[in-house]
Order: sequence, then C-alpha cells, then structure tokens
Amino acid sequence: MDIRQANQRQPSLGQIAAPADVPAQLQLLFAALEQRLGGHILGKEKQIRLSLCCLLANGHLLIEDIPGIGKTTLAKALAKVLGLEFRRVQCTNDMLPGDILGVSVFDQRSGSFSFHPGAIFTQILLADEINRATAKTQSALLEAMEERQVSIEGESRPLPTPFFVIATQNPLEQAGTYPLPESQLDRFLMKISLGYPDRDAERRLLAAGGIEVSDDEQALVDAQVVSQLQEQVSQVRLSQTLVGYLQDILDFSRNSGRFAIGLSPRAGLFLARASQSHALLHGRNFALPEDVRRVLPYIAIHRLKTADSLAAMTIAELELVFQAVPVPA
Amino acid sequence: MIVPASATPGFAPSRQEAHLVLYTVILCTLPHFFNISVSAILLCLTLWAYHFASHRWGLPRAGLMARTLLGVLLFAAAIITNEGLTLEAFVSLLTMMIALKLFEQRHQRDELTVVVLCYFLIVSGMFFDDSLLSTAYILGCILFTTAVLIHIQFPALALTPSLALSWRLASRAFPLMLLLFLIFPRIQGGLWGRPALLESNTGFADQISFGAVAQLAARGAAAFRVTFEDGFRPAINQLYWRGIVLWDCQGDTWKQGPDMRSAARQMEDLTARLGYTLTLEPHNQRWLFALDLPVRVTSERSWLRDDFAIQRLRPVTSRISYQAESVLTLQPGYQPARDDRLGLQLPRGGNPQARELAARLRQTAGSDAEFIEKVLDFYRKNRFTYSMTPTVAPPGTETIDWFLFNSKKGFCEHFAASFAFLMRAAGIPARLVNGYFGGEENPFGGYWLIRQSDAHVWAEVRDGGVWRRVDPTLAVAPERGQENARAASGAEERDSLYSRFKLSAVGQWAASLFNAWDMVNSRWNQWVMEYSIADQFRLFASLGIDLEKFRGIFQFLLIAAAMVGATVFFFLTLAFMRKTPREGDQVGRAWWIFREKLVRSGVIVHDYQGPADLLEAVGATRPDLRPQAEVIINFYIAIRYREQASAETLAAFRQAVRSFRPGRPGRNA
Repeated sequence: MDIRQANQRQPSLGQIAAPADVPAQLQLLFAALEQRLGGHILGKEKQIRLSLCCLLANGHLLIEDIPGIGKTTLAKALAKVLGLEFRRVQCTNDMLPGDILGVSVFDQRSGSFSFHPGAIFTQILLADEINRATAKTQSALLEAMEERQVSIEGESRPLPTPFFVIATQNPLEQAGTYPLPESQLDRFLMKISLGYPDRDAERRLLAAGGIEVSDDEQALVDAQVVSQLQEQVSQVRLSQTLVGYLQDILDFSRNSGRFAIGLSPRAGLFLARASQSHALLHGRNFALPEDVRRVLPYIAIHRLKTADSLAAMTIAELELVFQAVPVPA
Repeated sequence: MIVPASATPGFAPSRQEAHLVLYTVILCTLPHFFNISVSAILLCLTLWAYHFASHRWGLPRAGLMARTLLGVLLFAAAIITNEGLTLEAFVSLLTMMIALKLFEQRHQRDELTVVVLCYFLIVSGMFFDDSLLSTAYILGCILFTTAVLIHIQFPALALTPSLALSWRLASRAFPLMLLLFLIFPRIQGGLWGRPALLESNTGFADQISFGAVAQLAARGAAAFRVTFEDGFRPAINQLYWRGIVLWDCQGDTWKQGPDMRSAARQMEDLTARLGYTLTLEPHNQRWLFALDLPVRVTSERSWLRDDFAIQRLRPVTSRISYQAESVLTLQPGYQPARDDRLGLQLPRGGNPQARELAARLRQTAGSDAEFIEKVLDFYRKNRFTYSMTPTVAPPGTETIDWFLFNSKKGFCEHFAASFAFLMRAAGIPARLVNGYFGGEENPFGGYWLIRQSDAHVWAEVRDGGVWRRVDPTLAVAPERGQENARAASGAEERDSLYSRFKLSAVGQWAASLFNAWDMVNSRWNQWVMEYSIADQFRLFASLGIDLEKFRGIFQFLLIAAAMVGATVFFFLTLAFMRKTPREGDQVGRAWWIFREKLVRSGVIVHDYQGPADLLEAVGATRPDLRPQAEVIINFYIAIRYREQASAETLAAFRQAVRSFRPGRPGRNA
C-alpha cells in the first residue's frame, strides 16, 4: 500500500530543485514528452517515466507482460516522439543470429561480400517474446546490446546511437520458451510490467476505439537531442553521501542474507545511472536518495531472488525489504 | 521472506498481534496471582478485559490524561493493598503497569516494551517459588515471550516458526547459562538484600494467640527437610523440632519476651550427639529449627540462645541449609536467677476459674510432679477433644476459662497455652516452645519432610534443675504422636478433601508419587537452587584453582568486570541503536537533531526516508511545520547532495535546526 502512496508523491520530487538547476526548457520538454506518450499509453504515467528514465540512462528495458497490453505501442510511441528509428523483431525458436544481426552476402557483380544489416541496426528495437528465441540467438542479441556493436566475420560494425532495446516476454506461457539466464537478464537495466489499465483509462481507450501511433506523428526531439540528454544524465551529480547510500544498498543486497545472490557491480552502475536519469527527469542536476529508492525495485526485480526459496519477489516486497537500509545522515 | 515490522510506515498493531501481546502478559502474570493481593488481581483482570474489549468492539481507549491518572491510582493501590514497600507491592505494581501499558500502543516499541517487561515479571516469580515445576513454567514463559518478541519484529515469521527459532536461541544460550551459573561469582543473600515478603507462605509468627497455629497446620507445604547422618532413623514421637521459646504470657497471647542474645553455655562433651543437615524453606523470621535439644548449629550469623532457640541475625528470606547436632535425651538447664522471674510472669487479673482450678489442684497435690499429673488428668477426664476447628470464644469472655470449662475443644496451642497458664498460676515456672512435631520419611530421598501442618506447640516446666518437656496435647490425642495434626484431629475432619486423599486406598500410591516428586524437588533445591559460594569454591578447587585465598579480590574483579562490561555494552548499544552521528560530523548531528525534533512533534520519521520524503511526511502530518522544514531540508540537500554549500550555508543550516521549535502535535494535526 505504501508503494502506491509513494508513487502518488512522486511528482513532488521536483519541488526540491531550485529553478536554476536545470534549464526550464528541459523541464518543459520532459513534461511535453510525458504528456505525448501519455496520450498513447493511457493511465501508465509511472511506466512511461520509467521507460524514459531507462532510455536516458542508456540502458535496455525488459517488459514482462501478457499480450495486448500495449508494449508495442509504448515502443512505437517512444520512437515516434523522440524521433528515433524503430524496428521490431518477433522472436521464434527457428530464428538465427543472422536474422537479427545481419549477414554478409557474396555479390557476384562486385566480386566481394557485402553486408546486409539485420533488424538490430536501428535506434529503438522491439524484440518481442525474446524468450522464444534459442539461446544462441538470445546471446547474439544480448552481446550486441552490451557491446553496442556487431562483429561479423571479423569486422566490427557500430550500432546507431542512441541504441535502445525493448524486449518483451510473456510471464505465463512457458511451453517452448528459453528463459533468459541470469547473466543475460543482468544486461537489462530495468524490468517493468505495464499491467491492465485502470477503469478510467480503459473507458477512454474504448471510447476512442483504440489508439494508433500514426506514421505522420510529429517528433518532439531528434536522435541528437536524445544523445545530448543521455550525456547530460551522466553529468548529474552523485554526491559522496549518495554514493555511500548506493554502497549501503549494494552491501545490503549482498550481505543481509535475504537474497540468494547480491547485486552485481554492473547492477550498481546501472542503479547509479538510473538514479541520475531519474533526477534529471525531475529537473534536478543532483541525485537524491529518493531517486535511488524509486528506481531500485525495477532494477532489482530481475536480479534478486529470496535466499530461502529462490523465488522472485514482487516490487512491493522489494520496496519493503530495502526499507531496512537507512539513508545516511 | 522476512520483513522487519519496524520498516512499515505508521504503526497500527493488528488485532491478532495485540491479542498475542495480551496473552503473553496473561501467561506471565498468572503465577503471580498467588502472590499479589486480591484487589490487584481484580484490577489486572479489569484492565485486561477492557483491553480485549476495546480491540473487539472498538471501545474508546484511555487517553494520555486518563492513563496518567490511572497510573498514579494503580501505584497507590499497589502500595496500599500490599502493606507498603514489600516485594508483593513491587510485583503487583509491575503487573498493573504492564496491564496499563497495553493501552499505550502508538509505536512498535510500545509493544516491545510490554513484551520485554514480561521477562522481568516472569523472572520475579523466582522470588516466591523456585520449585522445579515453577522453574519449568518460567522457562516455558521465557520461550514463548521470546517467540512473541521475534514475531512482533518479523511479522512475516508466523508464531510456530518463531517458537522454533526461540527454542533454537534458548538451546544455544543454554551452555552459556550453565557456564555463568557455575563460574559467575555468587552473591550470597543479595547485594542490598531483597525486600521482605509480605506474607511468607510459611508464616510462623513470633507469638501465638488462640487460632494461629491451626491456620498453619492446614497448609501442606514443606517447612523443612532433614537428612540424618549415619542413617539414623528416629522414632516419630522423638521428633520435637524446637523453634522459638515463648516466655511472655498475656492471657490468651504468648510472646517471645525479652530478647535473649546470650548464648547457651557450651555443653560438655556428649557422646550421644545426633548430627543432621536441615534445609529450611524461607519463613521470613529470625530463627532456625533444630531437633530438641540442639547443642551445636553451624549456620552463618546465627547462635544458640540460652533457652535453646536458634536466633538468626537476618530473617530467612531464601532457602538455607545448615548442619546441627542434637542430643535427644538432654533437657535444658534451669537458671533460677532469670527463669524464676520470667517463668512465673502472669497478667494481674483474668481467667479466675482457671486460677481457682490451679489453686485447688495444687493444694491436693503433694509435689510439683503430682500437680502436673493432676492437670494432665484434668484434660484426660473431662472429655477434651482435639480439633482443628475449635469453636471461637464469644467476645468478652475469658478465653482460657472458656476453653477449659465450656468448649473443651482445641488443638496443641490451646492445650499448651492453658497448661502453661495453670502451671504459672500454681507457682511452677513454665514456658511454651513453638516448633514442629513429627515428620514423614521420604523413602526415595532418604530424608525427612516436615510440613507446615506439622506445626506444634508444647510446654516446658521446671523439674528440679532442668526444664522438662510436657506435651498436654498428647494427653488428649495420643495419636498426634503418630500422625500429623490434621489426621489426628478427629473423624469430623476426615471428610475434608485432603484427609480423604491421604487416607483412601488411592492414597498409598499417591503418597509414594508425592514422595518421589518431593525427592526430585529436594534434589533440585539441593543441587541447583542452593549452589552457593562454598560450592563454587569447591568446584574451582577441584579444577586446581584456589579461589579461597583471593576470595575478595576475585569476587570484586569479576563483579567489577561484569559491571564495566555491562555499562560499555549498554552505551555501545545506545550509540548503535540511535545512530547518533560521529562527533565532529556537525551536519549529520544537526540533521539527526532535526529529525528527533520532528519525531517529538508527531511526524512519523523513518530511517529509510530521504530528505524529500521527509518533507512529504511533514506536510502530511504537520502542514504548519512545512515551510520551516522545507528551508532546513533544502539547506541539508544543498550540503549533502548538491555539494555546493559554503561555510555560511552550513552555519545557516545549524542555526535553522537550533531555532526549529515544532512544539507538541496540535489538535488539528
């Protein structure tokens, strides 16, 4: 119950910032972004903000949800509004790494191999039902996500910037799937789920007869601006106190005995980056413990399992468990 | 998954949890119902019932004012109903205050306080009863209380696993407990002594008035246990256990009279000495018991008076063991100079019929011995009966006259007191001895058990150069020489539950069961409860360490170490619990003070809250404080998170915290 309350308080985080911290245009931009996206995904402000936060933190997003809940719409809308190139692959078990990465084909006319880039050469990639792809294909994709480049036949080809993968998986269907191993889950910055719309949002959705992301939708920014924003995120101040708090959290996840395995150093880096991103989204150029606490459950949920039963935890449980970590004075 | 409850924001104990705490309190208080006054019990029950009802049907809770008032009243009640600052008063105060604390459950720590206080309550039960059974109950209570303590802190852990955890903790602590029990310096009799028991359950007063011993005799509890040396088995009618000697006759009341501190003169070497060890249950009086006639007693701070009562400097408030030697055939010597004066004292008037009887019999008797026989004959021939429930003399009558000539029904005390009265009236020095008579051998333990129901009073009269024991009760009820008081008190008593239990066919194995149980308890007392400094020294000596030599130093060092350790531990815990920032970290310190001020003003503050959430919490509970708090919090953020603070900001921050005066939570808060 406290999580819901926490989320209702979320907008107020901006009040802490002095106006001069972040240019007013930027704050207006974020507001506009969220508003536009909110017009496509009704009643999911929190998920929209987390997606933006994830994107600006230069991390990849995993969405676990049932079909028809708006995952594709979210990806598409993000691409449109941010002016990014968008592609989608539907993962299947007969898919080969080449289908995603691309293949070199011998061109008889030129007498040489020419590279036909795969779906991954885009700025926003929606990898639907990633757990239906075989381990080989999964690892190829995930390696590319991490390296941000594709190596085929000894040649490295950088991926476009920004590069943002939204992978989805269906939590219910288990038959014929290849669940992502922990090492690969760790590459995703956050895992969220959208969930059913609330009554009001659903009413609006039904009344409108569905909300399409039309092709002629105007972008608010372009790829260059997104890259600049990502750069700006890395400039957000992480004070000594805050780093101490981050360390306390990592330490707690490793040594409290509550979790089977603690958070990895990479997860720690992600947490710091996501906190910065969250701070910037709220118009601050310094991160607060609240930023950490808001993003932490979504970073921890696919990484931590309970020590006693190795079961996954819910967001609410994670919120509660991490309340044991005090904020340093 | 285990989630500490302290992490949940806000605090409202669930009904189930509140009931659990209540049950814990009840469980721990129950044994004290034997110890505290009836009014205290009723008050406790009322408070519990109301607490239960207030959860069940949502009755209004007592506010701060009501609680304060109630607290003062209960304090007064505890003191008044238990006659001053006795142990019972302290315990009933504790029980009632815990019952009251149940109404103040604003934070989780309130619940914890109640449960932790329960530990004190349980352990204080040891003051009253340290038998094996009650020790087992106390241990059970401790296990349960620990489980509840765990469950409250980690609600996700259900009660059964909490109990299992509590059991594991206890079993791990057990070796440590054993070690501390064996080697921790024992303080004999307590550092500052302990408050006196109001009514020792073995009340044996320093005076007798008609009726007192009967109440005593109705109790089946143990008075003391005796192990004879060399397997000696006395005849039951030899077992006169001498307690105090009563000199001062005031009609129907006999008192100890002058405080004879002088010691009995040393007996010349006697060959028929009978040695034994006596383990006395606490009776809260300043005397010990020994077989008639004691010649030597080895017990600290006690001495044999020259009327052969054993005086002790301090009351016996805990079980003690001592060795004594007696000579069964010996009679106390008569000291004419003093005994003539004390042994003939009588009130000036009263009981004319008895005086007249004494004068008449004395005239017809040729000698003192004949007179004694005549008086005993008087009892035998006038259909006197032995009874535990004599009819009470109507007010205003002369009690001895009424007993001798009207009711003719009484127990040892009536016979002994009236007998001694007649003796003195006839000019023969007489005194009463208050003690126990008889006992029961426990075949399992090889010791004798003397119960409260064996209490007895007999007379001693001058016979030439010695005091001769005369037991007029035996003249009337010779069977009293074979059985205890209750069994001897006639057929009318045999209907009572206790007698039936004792005498029926079932009684045979029940008695042996009782004997076995008493043996186990006796061993428990002997080996565990009476583990003394001396035993401890013996233990160390057997390990080759002679502590006796450095006794004082050793004890002092250990106690000092324990106290220093406890103090250091206390302050360390305090430091860690309260998370007081390091000295020199002025920002952290000021921030901590600010949060403490908020807590006092009614804002719910959690450790896991960052500054922004804290501001939200202030806005939610004390909107009036928000502007002030916002300034302070922004200063703090500038210093800690923005890291752009100048020295001025720092000073301003500390100044703002200093001048932050939130005040008490207002009515509108």
